[in-house]
Amino acid sequence: MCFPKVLPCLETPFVIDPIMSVQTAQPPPPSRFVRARPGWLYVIRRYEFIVLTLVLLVGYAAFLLPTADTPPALRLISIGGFILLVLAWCVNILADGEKPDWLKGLVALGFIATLGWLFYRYSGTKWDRLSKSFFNFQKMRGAWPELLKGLLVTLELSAVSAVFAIIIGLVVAVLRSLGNRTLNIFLIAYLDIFRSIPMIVLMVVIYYALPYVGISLKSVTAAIVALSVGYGAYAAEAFRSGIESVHYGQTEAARALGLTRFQTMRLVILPQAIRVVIPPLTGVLISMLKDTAVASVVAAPELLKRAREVYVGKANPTALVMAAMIYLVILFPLARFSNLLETRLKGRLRRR
Amino acid sequence: MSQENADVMIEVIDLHKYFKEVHVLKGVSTQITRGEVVAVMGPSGGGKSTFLRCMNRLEEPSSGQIIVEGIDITSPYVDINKVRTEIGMVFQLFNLFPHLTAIENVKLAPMHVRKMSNKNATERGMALLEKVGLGNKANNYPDQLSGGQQQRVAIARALAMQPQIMFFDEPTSALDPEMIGEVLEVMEMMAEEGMTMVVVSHEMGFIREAADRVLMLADGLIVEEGSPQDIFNNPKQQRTQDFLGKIL
Repeated sequence: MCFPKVLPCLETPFVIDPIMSVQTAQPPPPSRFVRARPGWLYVIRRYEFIVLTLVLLVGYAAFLLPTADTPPALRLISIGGFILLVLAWCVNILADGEKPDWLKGLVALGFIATLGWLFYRYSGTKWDRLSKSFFNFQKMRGAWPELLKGLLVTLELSAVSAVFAIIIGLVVAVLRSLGNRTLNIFLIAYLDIFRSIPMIVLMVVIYYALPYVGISLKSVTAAIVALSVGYGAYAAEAFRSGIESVHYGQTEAARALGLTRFQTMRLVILPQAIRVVIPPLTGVLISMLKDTAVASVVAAPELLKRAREVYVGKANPTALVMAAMIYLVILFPLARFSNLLETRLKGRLRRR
Repeated sequence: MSQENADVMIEVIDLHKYFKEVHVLKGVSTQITRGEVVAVMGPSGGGKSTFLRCMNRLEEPSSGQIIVEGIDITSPYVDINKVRTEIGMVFQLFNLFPHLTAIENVKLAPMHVRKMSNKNATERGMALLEKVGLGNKANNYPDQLSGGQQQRVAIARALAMQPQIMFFDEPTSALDPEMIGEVLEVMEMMAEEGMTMVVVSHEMGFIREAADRVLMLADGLIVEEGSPQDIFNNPKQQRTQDFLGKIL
């Protein structure tokens, strides 16, 4: 028989004989990468286990979910427990990298469907009354023109405030980039104060309290002032982060060429900053558009105010649902658009 | 007041610079004459870049005088932007403007500082890009250029202001080895054309070829100066010997 050559260091002490070679033919010692016993994850992720638990969940749904004569305290526990178990079951599948994607999609759909079914069965909704009061479009004849008039005011409010908010934000951010400590204390105070005051409070104060210091504003003007000043603070933060994202070497190169501070800002820093600023700024402006609804508390005749007038006039709240639909139609594409913009600009940011 | 001497472009007298408590420059004095190529060498943290940046006040000197063409530019009455138009600067990391093409980078300052017309600025810019061998890359953005190409555009950008003197702050140390040559070639060409240059660099070949004088800057002081041959072949100071021993 021919034996393989043994490592030199092992050569001397060992004498290799046929008996020894039989012993080495035994299975190698277990690798440290292999679990001694299958772990619990292995057990709960087997298809047998998943099917079994699914059967148990269906059993739960059939027998343990509350019926009409279950006491209220038990109802909550029973439904809550069911949701938790279903959630655990779904997460167990969704978190497993080895399960196929179609199964995960099915499980996700099933989870949403289960929640919907639970709501339908246990919320106690009176569907006919709901549709009569909130989706009663027959009663709303002549309401659309009224609401669209409100929408026009809403758009006007947001357009004008957007322009002012951007101007305020840009000026504050540029002033802040000058880096003067004393000035910065005031600028930061402005930012922090106006970002902490809720828009509804700001608007009420501007409309109802400012007349006492001699400044009487019409409701639309008051709303514009409140929105511009409040969202100007957010815009300033967006601009500041953009300006700070430009490498200081850019400023140095521009100044070394003899450009003034102002030229450096205008020709070198801001064109680069704007690409960083646009996504968060769009977000700020979308929030502002939504907050124009607050102007209804100071009686600005915008969309929500009109909707409430129709609601009162026709004694039916479907008008509110219609207003919500208009907001949705306007803002949903805007939100999508800002997401798209963000992805597009990220690609261009490579240039630096 | 210094001697009025047409040949002295920049005179630095007892320049000190503190960053907070750290004393970076401890009294640097030297003269740079017209047409001279001065190489600044020295260990890291020795104040080479700070020295260069103080001379166009990208860093404010803490004390001392910097006299450019007979005028102390540390004086508050001096319009530093005017001074900087006469001093071209090339940075280690190029610092090209990424939102502008090569030609737009080059013509930005002539148009907005020298108020040159777009046509003239473009003409001059194109001529300079041709000179650094990048005439065909004029409409490329910096991210479409290699490091060596970017640095050559940066040189063209500085030259577009027709400066009297050029500062180079480690122009090749951020480049891949195969790109160093193309940048040094352009710099050697400028030196031959008689441009006054101050170069912070450790490129021995370039310094030996092109430099008239070497300043050894260590611990904020000029420890030794002389011709490249003197410094490289028989350095007198221990600091210089140590430093050269490490980089050779």
